[in-house]
Amino acid sequence: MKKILLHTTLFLLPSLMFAQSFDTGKYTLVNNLGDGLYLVGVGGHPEKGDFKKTKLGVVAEDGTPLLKPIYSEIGEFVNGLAFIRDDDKYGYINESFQIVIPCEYDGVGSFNELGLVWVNKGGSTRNTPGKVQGGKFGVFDSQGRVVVPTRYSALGTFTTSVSKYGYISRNEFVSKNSTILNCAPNYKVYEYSYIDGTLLSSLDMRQGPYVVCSPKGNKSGDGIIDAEGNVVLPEKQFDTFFCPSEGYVPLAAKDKSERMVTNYFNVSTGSLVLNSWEPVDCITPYVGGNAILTIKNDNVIIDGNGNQVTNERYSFVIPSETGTYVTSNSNGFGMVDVKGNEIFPCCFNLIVPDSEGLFLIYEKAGALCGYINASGDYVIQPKFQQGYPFSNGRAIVKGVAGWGVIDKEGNTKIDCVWQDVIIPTSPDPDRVWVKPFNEKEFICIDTSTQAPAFPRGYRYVYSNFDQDFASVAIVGTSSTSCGIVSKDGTEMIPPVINGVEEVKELYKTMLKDGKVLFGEADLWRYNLKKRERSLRYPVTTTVTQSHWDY
Amino acid sequence: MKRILVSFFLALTSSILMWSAPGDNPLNYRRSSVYSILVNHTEQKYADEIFQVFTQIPVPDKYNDHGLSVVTLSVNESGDHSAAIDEFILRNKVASRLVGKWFNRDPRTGICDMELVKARGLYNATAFDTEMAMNSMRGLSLLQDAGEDLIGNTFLLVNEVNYIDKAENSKKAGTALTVLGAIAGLAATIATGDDHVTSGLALGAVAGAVVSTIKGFKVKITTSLYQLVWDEESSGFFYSQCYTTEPDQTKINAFESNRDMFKLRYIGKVHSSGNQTSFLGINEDQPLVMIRKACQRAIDENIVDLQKAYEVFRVKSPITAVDGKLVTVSVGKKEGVTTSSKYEVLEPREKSDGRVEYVKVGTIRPLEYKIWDNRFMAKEEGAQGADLTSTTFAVTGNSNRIYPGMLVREIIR
Repeated sequence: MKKILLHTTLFLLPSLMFAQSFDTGKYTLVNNLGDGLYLVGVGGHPEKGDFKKTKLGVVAEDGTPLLKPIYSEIGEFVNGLAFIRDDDKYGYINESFQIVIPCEYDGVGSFNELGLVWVNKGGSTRNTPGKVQGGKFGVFDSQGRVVVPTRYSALGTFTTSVSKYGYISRNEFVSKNSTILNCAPNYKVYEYSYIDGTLLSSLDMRQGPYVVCSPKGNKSGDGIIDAEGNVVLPEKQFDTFFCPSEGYVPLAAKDKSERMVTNYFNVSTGSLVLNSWEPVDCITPYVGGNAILTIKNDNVIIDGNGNQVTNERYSFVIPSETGTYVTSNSNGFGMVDVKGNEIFPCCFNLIVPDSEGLFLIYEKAGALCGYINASGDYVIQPKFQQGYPFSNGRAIVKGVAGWGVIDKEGNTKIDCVWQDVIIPTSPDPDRVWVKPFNEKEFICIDTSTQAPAFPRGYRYVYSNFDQDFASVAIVGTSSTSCGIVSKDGTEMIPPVINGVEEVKELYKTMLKDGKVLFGEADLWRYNLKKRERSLRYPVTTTVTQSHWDY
Repeated sequence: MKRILVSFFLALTSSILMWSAPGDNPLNYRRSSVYSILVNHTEQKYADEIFQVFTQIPVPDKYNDHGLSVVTLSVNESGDHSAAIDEFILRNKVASRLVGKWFNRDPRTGICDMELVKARGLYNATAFDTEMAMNSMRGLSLLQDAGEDLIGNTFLLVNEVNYIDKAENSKKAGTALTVLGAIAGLAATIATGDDHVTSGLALGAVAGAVVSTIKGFKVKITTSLYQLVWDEESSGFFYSQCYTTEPDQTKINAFESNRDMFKLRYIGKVHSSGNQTSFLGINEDQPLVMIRKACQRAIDENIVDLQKAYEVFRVKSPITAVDGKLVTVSVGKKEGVTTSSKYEVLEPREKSDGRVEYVKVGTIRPLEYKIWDNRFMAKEEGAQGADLTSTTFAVTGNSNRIYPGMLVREIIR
């Protein structure tokens, strides 16, 4: 079916020249849409551009009415569906012009990627143009089936992630453990927010195929229905909940002491996982079959039945990408696997959750650090004063004489003799930026010789070689003067451009135009164009040569 | 003339590259080049906002950006401004400036180079210089090839944007144009004395009203199309009298005195439909985004219509993948692809004289639910097809001869 765009202002004149075989006399508007379809209108004066009283419909080539001419507006077909409007009532039709959603709603959204659309009955846009307020909301699918009955004061979707480590009740937990938490993989729970009733907005269900249904619209007694219309979380039972994961809905509440407590709703059994609500610092989702109860100084790992995976309780537990947990108690850091088997007891000074399969570990305070694998075996023996997690197969570490770079076998790639090192952003780079002691600028060294690749240094390195573009880096002499330098030190764009994004765009244009260097003439044109962008010349003007770049 | 052209190239010190088959890199193919200008109606509402967003609208990626420093003209009354625009083009010698850009001509020194021609012409290193030294037909044909298929495909688009005030219809639809806040941020008038430049906006300044509507803002854009004339006379004059790689006052004077020799030919114009633009995905406190979307969609629509109306402006796009009877091409709704579109598949073939011709080897039609919606902000509005990265077509007929790198061009019925 040909895509059709129908609107009162689209068609300015009645057609006089089409090959239709029906009587056009009764219509004030006839327009050929192609594929044997005609948009027709009755009433109003469309020939004068006045559509206020024109009602639109669609007929076939032989005059057979496909859609009665009773609509003020017919929207654009998207995914085979288009909204229709009869004065201030909305509905939906499909490309066969069948009514999918009756034109009786005071507001509708647009179908989302799951084929769902919200509707509203009884609401009004009078005080909030473009948004329907009040009334009751519901959800239909693209076949016109009711997914959520139209009886809810509000609908919501899970869109907002709440911090990196769950729903936080005590910020000191995060700030105290920020070093560890910053290294942990994302471990998010998602809150929901109500849709605001903007006409033709779509339900954002990217975090999960769920709609929150609110009887009162005040985040009290809400429930969850999935995209198939099944109840996931019953209404009127829980006030605070988060996006379901792996068949469990994380819940939160306040106990009598105003502490935050948690439990989990098992969707398949319809019952709570824990026998009692547990006070926690953070709400965590089920991931890999387990969840973490983040009780202060008493964190535990639980399985889907609420049973502890380990007998131990920890001051906190951090999941890692390998499925191993980094644990901590008053004795130090340790590790357990996903089944709760202890890899290390909690006895080490610090273990940082894995990066690329290796865990940074400090056995004792003030001791040297090394790297272990998920089995707890040393891969790189402790011989560094400080270290960072691996990235692209490289980690920056600090030795006696300064910072350097190692690979995942522990081989030194850059000697530890520098004041600062910029972590490589590509595997096995041949260039690394380092800062010598007593200097303010980074220099670029050849990783094979560890000698300077070229003499010029730069105060700022915004983008490593190969990070944004192959074989070049974005550097700067100040925070507002950026340029592009190649691996041999050629300033392809001298550091005179205001801003990283601008220099990136300039470089892309250079490449397209076959330029290899940004010369003096290019800089002159660049500055000229920047100035000219803000100018408008009367069409009667003769623009002097000094304003033209060619 | 031939001798002049050959002598010119013998004088070049830089090596010229031979044209390579697009199959070497499927996305490398010759594009037409476009210079786009806005005609801003300063007497209309939202003139400043339209001016501000227009400069952010890029040249479509199916064309090379051949923009010059001057991008915006202004008029202060309604009516037909075609004659005034034509006179502006002539009076300001725009055609000569487009030629200058092709050869990277520095107007201050007259120095030129061929880098842009090489880059856009996709020439690769071969014995081109040898061909030229031998004064061969092959070398001469390559020069003509660069002229016909490249420099001669340079276009000027003049976009006259008219704002359509839909206040009445908006009320009927249950919405209203509500202007909130004060106009702020207008830059001071820039007085140069000689150019009578009108006031402009500092880049990034939001000088607008917050428009509280989802349907109230519409534009109608008239786009006029001009083509650079690059014939034997103009190319011969330029190569022989003006092209220089070192400062040469004689050549500088020759070019400056004869800018009128270069011309733009008027091809035609189209008008956008003034259709409603959906503002899905745009917050109501983002008026400039709404304006940009409306303008960009209308310009894209006009470019599609110009391609349909004028074959010289029609683009070719490369096939990026072939899987049996299915091919993928980096075109979508922005280029006007619909379920009823039909495309011819063209195989570039190098002739014995080195020039390129395109031979039709098949036809393809898009699959209904595999049409890429690559229009501006299609993703934000949740448009179907916005998550695709190309359009999938079905080959009608024999598919054995189709491979990645071939070009497709829409068949206009």
